[in-house]
Amino acid sequence: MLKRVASAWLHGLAATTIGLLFLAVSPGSPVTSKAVEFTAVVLDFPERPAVWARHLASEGFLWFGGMREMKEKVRQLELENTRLRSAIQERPDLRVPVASDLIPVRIDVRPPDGWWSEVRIDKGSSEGIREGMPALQDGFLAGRVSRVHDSHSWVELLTSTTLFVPVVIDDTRDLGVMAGDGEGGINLLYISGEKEIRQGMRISTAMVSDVLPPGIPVGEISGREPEPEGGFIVYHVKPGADLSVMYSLYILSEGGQR
Amino acid sequence: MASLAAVWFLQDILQVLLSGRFLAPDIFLLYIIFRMTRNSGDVPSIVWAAFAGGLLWDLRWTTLPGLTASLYSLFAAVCMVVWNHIPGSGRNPTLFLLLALSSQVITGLVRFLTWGSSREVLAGVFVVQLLSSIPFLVLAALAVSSGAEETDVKR
Repeated sequence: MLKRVASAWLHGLAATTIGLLFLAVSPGSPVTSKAVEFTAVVLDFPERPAVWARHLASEGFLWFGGMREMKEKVRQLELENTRLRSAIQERPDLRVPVASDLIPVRIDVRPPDGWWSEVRIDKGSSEGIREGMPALQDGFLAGRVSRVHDSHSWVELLTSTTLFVPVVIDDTRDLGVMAGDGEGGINLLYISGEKEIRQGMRISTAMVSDVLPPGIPVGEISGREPEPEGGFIVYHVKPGADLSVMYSLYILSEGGQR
Repeated sequence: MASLAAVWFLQDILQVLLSGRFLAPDIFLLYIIFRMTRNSGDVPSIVWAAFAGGLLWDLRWTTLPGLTASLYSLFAAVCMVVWNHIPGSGRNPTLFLLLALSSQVITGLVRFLTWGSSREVLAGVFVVQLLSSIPFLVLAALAVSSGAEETDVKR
């Protein structure tokens, strides 16, 4: 019996140590990313019945609850809201294409080591998702599709330090670049210290952006750094999307791409 | 081995069904502990199976390879040590329930603490995960109980 206990300790400690070593070296490693993607691809087929069952249950629940119609209406209203905000600017080049559509997606993984950087969504290229498409929550920009696979994709969040979004302050038409701090905060950069920007002013994506369509609401100014840096003031942005509580998103696609 | 793969896949399917809302209960770990009660001498096949299942789970769901693998293998080993230390008469369904429940609570708690800034959101998820594990715990305890009775009859 003692031999058995000693063996259990030895094997247990060895396995735990190896696991912790993996844990120490794996975050951010390209090998880990490839292994994660490979696992998702391999399990995609056997998991498909469960995905369909979940979809059926979800649809059935909505249908019986009389929610389906309402959900569709909300979806249309969100899209219309986006179009209207562009149209208000009386610039044809700012309008979101009429053929745009919203693809509802569910977040299935939010890695703890990149909590404010990216999320994985349960739809991929086979459902019309393309790299660069904007991800919306409650009609506000939440991020951008960064990587696309056949059955799933990754969305880079506004709070990520590597996503730079050119934006415009709606009231003053000042242009700036928005970037996350990787800890849940978002900053608006490159706004001249001479400008009068007030708390509560709304922000949307700018037409100078080559990564996102213009006119998508982002959020509002929530504060500023006290001292300018190199003649520029760093403003804090409160996103319209609630990035802490996020279970699903809408991907804004162009109809022709789907 | 096939049964281990089947239970892992069942946990995976539960996670697919619950994804975005809740976490599936750790039924793979529960099954590992159950297997240990049936064959407490086969240390490598218990501990390393727990490690492999945990690692696969990390690759599929947590994207932190090593986290679940460490937890599962550590729990498998600790349960095995406790089970082997207790005299035969004490190895009953209550002890199994205690070990299995501790494993579910502590595994969930470690995961909950690892998630950092999203703890408020995950508090509810953690509670639901624990509650959803109860039916599986009861079923496994019943299975241990029936196994114990068979052993008593043989004695």
